[in-house]
Amino acid sequence: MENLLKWCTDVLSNPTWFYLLTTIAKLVVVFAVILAFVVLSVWIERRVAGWIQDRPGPNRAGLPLFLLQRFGSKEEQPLKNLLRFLGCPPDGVIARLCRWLRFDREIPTFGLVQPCLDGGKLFLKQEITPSYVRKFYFILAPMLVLGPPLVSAAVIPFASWVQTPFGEINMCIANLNIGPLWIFAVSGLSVYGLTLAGWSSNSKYPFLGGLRATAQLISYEVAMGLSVIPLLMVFGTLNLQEIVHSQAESGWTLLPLWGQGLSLQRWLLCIPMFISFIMFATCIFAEANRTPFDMAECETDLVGGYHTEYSSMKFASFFMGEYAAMVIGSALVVTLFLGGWSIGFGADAALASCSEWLAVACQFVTFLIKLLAFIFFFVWVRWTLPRFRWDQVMKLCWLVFVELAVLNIVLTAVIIYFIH
Amino acid sequence: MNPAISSLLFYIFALAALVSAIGVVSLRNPVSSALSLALCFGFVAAIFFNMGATFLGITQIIVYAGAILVLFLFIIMMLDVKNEEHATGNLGYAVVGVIVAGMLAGMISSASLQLPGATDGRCPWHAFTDAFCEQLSVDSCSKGNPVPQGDIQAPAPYGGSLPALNPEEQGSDAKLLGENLFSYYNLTFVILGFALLAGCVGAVSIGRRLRRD
Amino acid sequence: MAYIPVKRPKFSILDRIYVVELVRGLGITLKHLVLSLLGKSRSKKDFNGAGIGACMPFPEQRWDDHLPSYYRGAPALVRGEDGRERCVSCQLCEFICPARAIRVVPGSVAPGSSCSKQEKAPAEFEIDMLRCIYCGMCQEVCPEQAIFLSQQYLITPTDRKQAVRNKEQLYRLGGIRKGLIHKWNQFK
Repeated sequence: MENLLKWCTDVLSNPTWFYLLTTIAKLVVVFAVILAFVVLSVWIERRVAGWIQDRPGPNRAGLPLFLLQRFGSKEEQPLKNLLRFLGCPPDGVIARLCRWLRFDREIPTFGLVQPCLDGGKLFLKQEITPSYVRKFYFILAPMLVLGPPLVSAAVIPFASWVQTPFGEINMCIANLNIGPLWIFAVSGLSVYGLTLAGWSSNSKYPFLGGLRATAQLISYEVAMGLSVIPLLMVFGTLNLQEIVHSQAESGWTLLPLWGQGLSLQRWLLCIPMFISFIMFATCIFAEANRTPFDMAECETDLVGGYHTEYSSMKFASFFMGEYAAMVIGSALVVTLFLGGWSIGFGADAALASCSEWLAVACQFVTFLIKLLAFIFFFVWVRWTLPRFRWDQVMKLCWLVFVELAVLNIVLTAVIIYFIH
Repeated sequence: MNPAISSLLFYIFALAALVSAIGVVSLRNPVSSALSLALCFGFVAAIFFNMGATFLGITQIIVYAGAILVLFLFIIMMLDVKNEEHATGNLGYAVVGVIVAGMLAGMISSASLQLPGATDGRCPWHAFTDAFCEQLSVDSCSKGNPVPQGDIQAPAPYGGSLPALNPEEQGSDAKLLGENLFSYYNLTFVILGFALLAGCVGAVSIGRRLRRD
Repeated sequence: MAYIPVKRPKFSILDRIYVVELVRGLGITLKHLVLSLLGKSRSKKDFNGAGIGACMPFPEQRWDDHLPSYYRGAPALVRGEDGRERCVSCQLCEFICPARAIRVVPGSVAPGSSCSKQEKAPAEFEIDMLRCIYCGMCQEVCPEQAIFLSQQYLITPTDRKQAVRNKEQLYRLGGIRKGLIHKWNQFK
C-alpha cells in the first residue's frame, strides 16, 4: 500500500506525467459533460417547444415497471408493496403524490430517456446509402460536422484553477492565448461537412442546402469575429481563462456590479458590450445553423437541406453536431459575456480562500447552470421566431452587422480612450 | 516543449504538408484537390503551432482553411467542374512552370543554406539531439534563455536583423504581432492594405458590369 | 391575367429595427410557457386537458363527453327498433368503399321469419379496421340506413386478425337505431 502511494506520488511529481494525467482527466470530464448536454439540450428543446405550444412535450418515456414482471417479479405494482413496507396509508397524501407522479406505473424520468431512446432508434435504423452519391465524401461529411464542435470545447474554461502539491491545475483543457479564435477557426471548419454533404449527395436539394450553408457560415464568421473585438479591447487579452478571471474580479461584461466594475467607464462600456452581445449571440445562432437562420436545412423549401439523403446514424451525427455546436456556442457566449464560471459579487475569492476545491466545484456548477439558461434561450428564440428569407439573412449580415460591428469598435475605442 | 520532440514533429508535419501539397496538383477530382489543399493549410498551421506562433497558426486556419478555401469549394461545386480528362501537354507551360518553380526553389534553398548550421552537416539529423538545440538556442523558450531583441539574423540579402518574435517571453504572440505590424512594418502593412482594397474594388466593378448586361 | 397591386403594410422605423417586435414575440411565447407550466392554458377545458398545457394526457383522461357530436369513428351495423337487421346485403357499401375494407357475403332470410319480405340479409359482414379510412361513404350510400359511423375511437388490435370485425361485433357496436324504416314492414 505504501509502495503504491509512493509510486503515485512519484508519478505525479514528474511534471510531464502530472500534465498528462490531469489533461486526460479534464478531457474525460469535459467530453462527458458536453455529450450529456447534447442529449439534455435535445430534451430541453422538445419540452420547451411543447410548453410554448401548450403541450406537455415528451413526458412519457420512463422506465416502465411492467418490465419487472417480465423479469420475474410476481408483484403487479411494486409501489403498493413499498408503501405498505414503509407504513404509509394507501390513500394518504404520500401515496396520492406518488400516484400523481405515476410512480405506480414507471420510474419517472420526465421524458429524459426520450433522446437516448431516439439515439437507439436511429442506431438500429436501416442505413441507406443511395447509389448515386460520391461515397467517400458522403461518409466523410458527417464526421466533419460532429468533430469540430467537440474539439473547440478544449479552450473553454469551466472553473478557475487549483493549487495542488504537485503543481497547478488549470480547469481548462488547453489554456491557449487565442481562445475565441480557436473556437472560430475550428467551428468554422464544420462548414466543410455541410458543403461536402450537400455536394456528395448528388441531388439538388442537398446541393442547394450545401451552397447556402457555405455562404451563410462564411458571412457570419466575419460578423462574429468583428462583433467580439470590442470585448477583447476591454479585456486586452485573448485568453479565455484570463477574461473570465477579470470578469470574476471586476464584474461580468454585461453586469459590472462589483469590484472595479462600478466605474463610469465600465458602465458606459455596457452600451457597446450590449450591442456586441446581441450581434454575437445572433451570429452564434447563424453559425450553429439554428432557426431562424437554418437556411441550410430549411425544410419548407429544401426538403431536408444538406442531410436529405442521409439516414440512420449518419443523420444522427448531423443532428448531434448541430446540438453540440449549440452547446459550444452557448458556452462561448456565457464565457465572454455572462461571466463564465464566476459566481459573482466577490463570492469566488471568498470561496477560494476557504477551499480551492470547493470553489472549483461551485464554479463548475455555476457554469453549467448558466450554460443551461443560455441553451434555454436558444430554444426559446427558436420557437418564437419564424425563419428568415435567404436574402434577409445575407442582408442582415453584410449590410447591418458588419457596419454596426465596425461602428461598435470605434465607439468602444472612444470610450476607452477618453473616459477614465 | 522538448526540442527533440519539437523537431521530430516539425519533420512529420512538413512531410505531411508536402504530401498533401502534391495531392493538390496530382489529384484528378477538383474537390479532392481543394480538400487536400485544406489539409496542407492545416499542417502548415500545425507547424506554426509547433513553433509557438499560435496566433499565426490559428489565423492560417481561420483565413485560409475556413474562408478562402471554402469559397474555392463553393465555386468548384457551383460550376460543377468535371474531373480532368487528360493532362494538358503544352511545352510552353511546362517550360515557364519549371523556370518559375526553379527560381522559387533557388531562393528558398539559398536562404536556408545561409542559416546557422545549414552547411556543416548538422541539419537535419542532429536536430533531434538536445545538445545541438542548446547550442543553436533556436528553441530558447524551452531552455529559458531569452533571445534579445534583434538577435535572430535573417541572411544578409534578405533584410538583416529582424525584431525578435518570442511569444513565451512577451506574453501572447498576438500582441507581439500586432505591435510589430503597426510599428516596424506599418508602411508595408498600409501598402498591402491598399493593394487589397484595389483588388476588392476591381472585383466589385467587374461583378457589377456583368450584372448590368 | 388581371394585375392586382397588393398594398404592402408600411413599416415604421421601430418595426424595421426588429428588436422591439422580437422582444414582444419572446414575451408572447414566454407567457404561453408559463401558463402551460401552471396548467392554465387557454381552451384546456375543451380538450379535457390536465396537467401541463392544454393537452389531454390520453390514457388517464379520455374524450368522454368532450367528443364533438360530428366525430366519425369506427363504422358499425345497426338494428331497427323492431330488432330487425337493417342490412339487406345489397353490397353497395362494399362497392363504394374506397379502401376496400368491407366484405359482404349475402345470405337469405329464412322464409318464415318476421322480416322475410326483404329476402336477403348478410351471411357474413366484415370490416377490416386496418383498411378503413373513416370516410363515411358506406353510411352515405346505404339505402337502408343500416351502417353508421359510431363514435368509437379506441381501435387497438394486437394482430391483423383481430383488426377484422365480423358481423356480431359490428352489431354489438352499433346497437339499436331509433327511427323505423317502414319499407319492409308487411303489415303497414
